[in-house]
Amino acid sequence: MELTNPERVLWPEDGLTKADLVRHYVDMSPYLLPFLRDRPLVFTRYPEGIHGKSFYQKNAPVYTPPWIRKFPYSAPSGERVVEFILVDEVAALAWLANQACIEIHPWFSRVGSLDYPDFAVFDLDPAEPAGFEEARAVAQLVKTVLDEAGLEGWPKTSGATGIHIYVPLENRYPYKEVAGFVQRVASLLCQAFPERITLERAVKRRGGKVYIDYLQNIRGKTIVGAYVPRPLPGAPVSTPFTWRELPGLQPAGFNMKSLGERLRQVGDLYAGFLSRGQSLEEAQRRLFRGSERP
Amino acid sequence: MRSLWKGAISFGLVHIPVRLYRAVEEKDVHFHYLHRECQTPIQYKKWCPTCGREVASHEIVRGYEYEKGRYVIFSEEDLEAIPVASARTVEILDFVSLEQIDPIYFEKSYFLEPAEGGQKAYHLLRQAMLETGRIALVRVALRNRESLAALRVYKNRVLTMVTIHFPDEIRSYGELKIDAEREVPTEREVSMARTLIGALAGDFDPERYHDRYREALLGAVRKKIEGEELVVAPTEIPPTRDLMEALRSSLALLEQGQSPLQPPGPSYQGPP
Repeated sequence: MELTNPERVLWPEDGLTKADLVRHYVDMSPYLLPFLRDRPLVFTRYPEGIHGKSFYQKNAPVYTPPWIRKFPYSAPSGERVVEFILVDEVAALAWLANQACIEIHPWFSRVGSLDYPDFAVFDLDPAEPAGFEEARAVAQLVKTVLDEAGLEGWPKTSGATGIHIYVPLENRYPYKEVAGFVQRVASLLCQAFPERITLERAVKRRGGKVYIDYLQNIRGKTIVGAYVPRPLPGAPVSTPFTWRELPGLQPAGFNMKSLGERLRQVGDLYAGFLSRGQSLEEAQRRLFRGSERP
Repeated sequence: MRSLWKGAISFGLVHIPVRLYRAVEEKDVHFHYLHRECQTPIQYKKWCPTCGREVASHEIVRGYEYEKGRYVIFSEEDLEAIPVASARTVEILDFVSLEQIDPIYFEKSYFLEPAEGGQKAYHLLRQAMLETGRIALVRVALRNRESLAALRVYKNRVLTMVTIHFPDEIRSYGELKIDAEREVPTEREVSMARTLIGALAGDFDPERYHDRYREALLGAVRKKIEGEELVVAPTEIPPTRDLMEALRSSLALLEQGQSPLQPPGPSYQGPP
């Protein structure tokens, strides 16, 4: 495979080029591939760099090489068929990076069990003027509720100002049930701390609070994958961290230039994550004891 | 059901107090237009392309376009000067036979209900119309506009009024190519067509017909509501007092620079 325009600058503030992006994806492939395998992907491309025009792409482009796996999918509502790209080898990652594909967003479920997500995500998205500080406090609250529920939560930075907390699940709960669980937990937290948390869909009504986007947990929605860079100055990367790191965490410190060193120090914090599927029944019983499940 | 107005049927010297109701309810499936990103219903703003700004309602006047791009302005006073029928009466003009009115004239249907003091006269009129088989041609004011209407008895029970278009509102079919004179069918063809009609002849039973488009659309709406694309608002479950306590102390811990109480999953192999 040949790289085209490897010197094309994608992050002008940081002097990072398309060659750097390809290198990032190749270096990260041991951590990325187990997670991406068999998942329909959505990606964003920035052929002119992070300040230029970008494309949000679901469909495999017509010129996609034949050796890249594709997955034809038609939504239950009978919409047109989308041909998703599946990534299961490092060459496919390199090819995507060569397409100036900065972000990869994998589905929550795999092609063999499309209806059943492998995890729930608490997507904490602070609305300005709120920022990472506010997201940090809400992450602490989510962690506390998960402890109470007896569930493990695996946090990562969003790469911007948010935090994503993954809760690995046995893949036998339909999307609707998973989204419903996240929604109930979010609603519980929102009732406890209405001054910090909002479930408001309209951006302008989120007013400086942290939005918990439970609707990310529905079929076809995606969230940026772990170790995926963002099209922002500083080339931040969505990076797994430990709960112990939460109080002092500086998300800007996790970027394309520093990530290699961090991985040498702490290893892949998301390793084994997918084999740790948890059950929701006990968690629901513990949290919503004595109340009717809708 | 809410009545549109209360008025009277006027019939010679007789006044029958009645209330008017809409008889028909449109069941078109209605969609809202939302901003895709945040799903907020969008708003329409009144915009003047000449001044390049939004205009407030007090800045807006009515104009009648008498030729392309030229308007005469009508103020509220101008409109008030036009005589309108504002009296809430259903004035009976003639009693005619229903068959004489072609259905093309029919517009909108309303029910009439006897109001206080109108019971006796209402039923008298109803019964007399049933027995004579005549319907009343009436003049009525609806939304400040005078209309012609037919007043009749529906299902032998309720006085019903259907507004009738004025003759100049019915378009001419003169420019359609019908050519009835040139295309004369043979007796054999007519006889075959008659047989076909006979085979399909039946009584009008409106219950047999449904709006299949609406049913399909509502079916799709139901599927979306039940499917994964929507999450219904849950019954709000408040946190227990214990949980509230735990949440508060975890925030306090964070302020002291400490992580939550329990370590992450057992597979955790990071630094201490």
